Amino acid sequence: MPPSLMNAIHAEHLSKTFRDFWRRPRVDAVRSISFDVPAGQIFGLLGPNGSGKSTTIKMILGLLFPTAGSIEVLGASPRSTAVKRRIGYLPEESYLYPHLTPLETLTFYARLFRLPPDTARTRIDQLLDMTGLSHARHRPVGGFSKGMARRIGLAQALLNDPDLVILDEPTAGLDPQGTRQVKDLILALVARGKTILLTSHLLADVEDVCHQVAILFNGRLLAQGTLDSLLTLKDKTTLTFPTPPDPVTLQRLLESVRAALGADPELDHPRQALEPYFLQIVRDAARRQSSDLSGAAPHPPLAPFLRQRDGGTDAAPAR
Amino acid sequence: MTRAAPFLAIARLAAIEAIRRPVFLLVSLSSLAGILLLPLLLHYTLGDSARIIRDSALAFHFLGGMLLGTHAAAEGFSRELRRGTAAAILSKPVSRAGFFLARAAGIAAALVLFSLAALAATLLAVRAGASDLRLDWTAELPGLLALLAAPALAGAWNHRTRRPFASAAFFLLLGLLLLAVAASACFSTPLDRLAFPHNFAWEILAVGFLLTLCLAMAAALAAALATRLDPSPVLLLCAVVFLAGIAADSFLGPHLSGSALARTAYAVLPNVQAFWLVDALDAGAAIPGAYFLTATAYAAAWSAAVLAAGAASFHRLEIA
Repeated sequence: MPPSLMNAIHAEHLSKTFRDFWRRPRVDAVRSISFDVPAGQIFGLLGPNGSGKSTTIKMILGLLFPTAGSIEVLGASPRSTAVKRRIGYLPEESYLYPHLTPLETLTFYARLFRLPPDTARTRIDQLLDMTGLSHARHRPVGGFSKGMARRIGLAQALLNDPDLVILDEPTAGLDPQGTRQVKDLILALVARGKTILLTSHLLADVEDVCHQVAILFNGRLLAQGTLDSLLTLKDKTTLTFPTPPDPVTLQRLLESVRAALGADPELDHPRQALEPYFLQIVRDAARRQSSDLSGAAPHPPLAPFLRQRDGGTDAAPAR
Repeated sequence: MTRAAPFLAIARLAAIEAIRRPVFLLVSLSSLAGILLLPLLLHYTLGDSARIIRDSALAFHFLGGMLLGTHAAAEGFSRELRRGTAAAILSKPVSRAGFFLARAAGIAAALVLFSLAALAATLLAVRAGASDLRLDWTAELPGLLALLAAPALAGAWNHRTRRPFASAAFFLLLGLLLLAVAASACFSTPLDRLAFPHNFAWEILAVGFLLTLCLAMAAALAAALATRLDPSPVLLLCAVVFLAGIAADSFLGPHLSGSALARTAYAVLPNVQAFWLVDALDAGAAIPGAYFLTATAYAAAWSAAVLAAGAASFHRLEIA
């Protein structure tokens, strides 16, 4: 099978130079990068501001044209409208028409995908429920908070049930519940065989969901691979066991490790991550007060059309 | 859903976005107020009031439409690029040419609505001021009431629903002006007791139709230029090109037989004179159907050529 069919995105020596009015080179935004995004995986594109992430995404979407190199998306040119039918894109800023309501916004995008009216109506209702915006469906989006605008942006990105989802800073502006919801959604989409390309400054979010990452700096690709291959410290081993009832037992254990390895082991108590701890506290408080959380519920239902596999069964998150 | 659905959705949104801009309402209100106040402001016209009102009203229509069409096409396009909505739409299965042409069609639709309102106001104003001796209040009053009631009702609707004021006011203005024409048509003119259909100078509609074609040409040029230029240079260039088009007969006409350059320039410049047929009305001549067809074909061909150039330019535009 040719590489382009196994990979959702195949970029080879991709470069982009922006030029000034006189066609003189102004900035080299991307410099000869090559990477593959395997189909059915979550791929993170990381890097500080100005590293070339957004430029790369815009080349993948056919909005910018490479100065050199080539790029294939789902086996075809990124400018092909047939390919774009299979892509969902959440831009870094939620590009919305301020006077339209969420319902009008999603109806507009449904028309761009030529969805049949019944399908469009069902999906729009489900996506508004999923993003917690049903109550605001008739309010102009110009008055929305950044978090709400992200939610409507996310809804439009999923409207066509895409095979490839490109998420530019998907959790920016979201509260912890919204962030968890987006991460769960990403995992559920991948469980259905979708491919996700995401960029984020929030490295903990990337670490939570991504299979592979590529790190860009100053337009160059500095590192690329699976999280395990990049982050695992092969020369260290962690052993977790229940805290011994008395210090003498612990001392005896440490002595035996020291004697066996000839090195001092590090002793520490494992810590739970802040996100699940925070979410648990908020959920408990909300349950006690029966109060409505702003935005989405802690565990909002995934839109049914996104849950169903092609055969019609529900898919569970992969991780 | 039909293949035309994306085109229609983008065109509809472009038209509504244009109409929702406050400047659209401001220019529309100014032009329509100018037209409707003409019968009240003109005095001592020596029996020429109907002609003066008609010519001035059509001039308001032309200038207002020119400003609206070029501004909506240029500023709207630039806003789509700046705000990122163009990038969001073009990441969907929408071709660049389709997006560009749909936007141009939307602006043309907004212009047609403005032209409808301007022609309704012109019919009312010409009838109201047709006589030097007595103002026809059965035409003037409904027009003025429409002008005042539309913003007031839109304000109340905006207060109640928080929906955009400018587009509501414009659509109300258009609806109320058409209603004013219908209401006024029920009354005979005061002096010569002319009843419907003779109580209005309907032949103005023919001239208004040609004028609207000319405005659509200007909007097409603005849309094409906006793919590469900011709104200010676009407005300036449109003004220069159409002023040159108005004067083309005078300064290029004498050289057409001897100079290929003059012939090329004459063919490229929009022949605005061909769409300003007020003089034919003065002569009492009917405008032949063949002339309409030729003028429409000319406007369509000129606009198509300009839009094709614009689409080609947009096809190569990088959307950062």
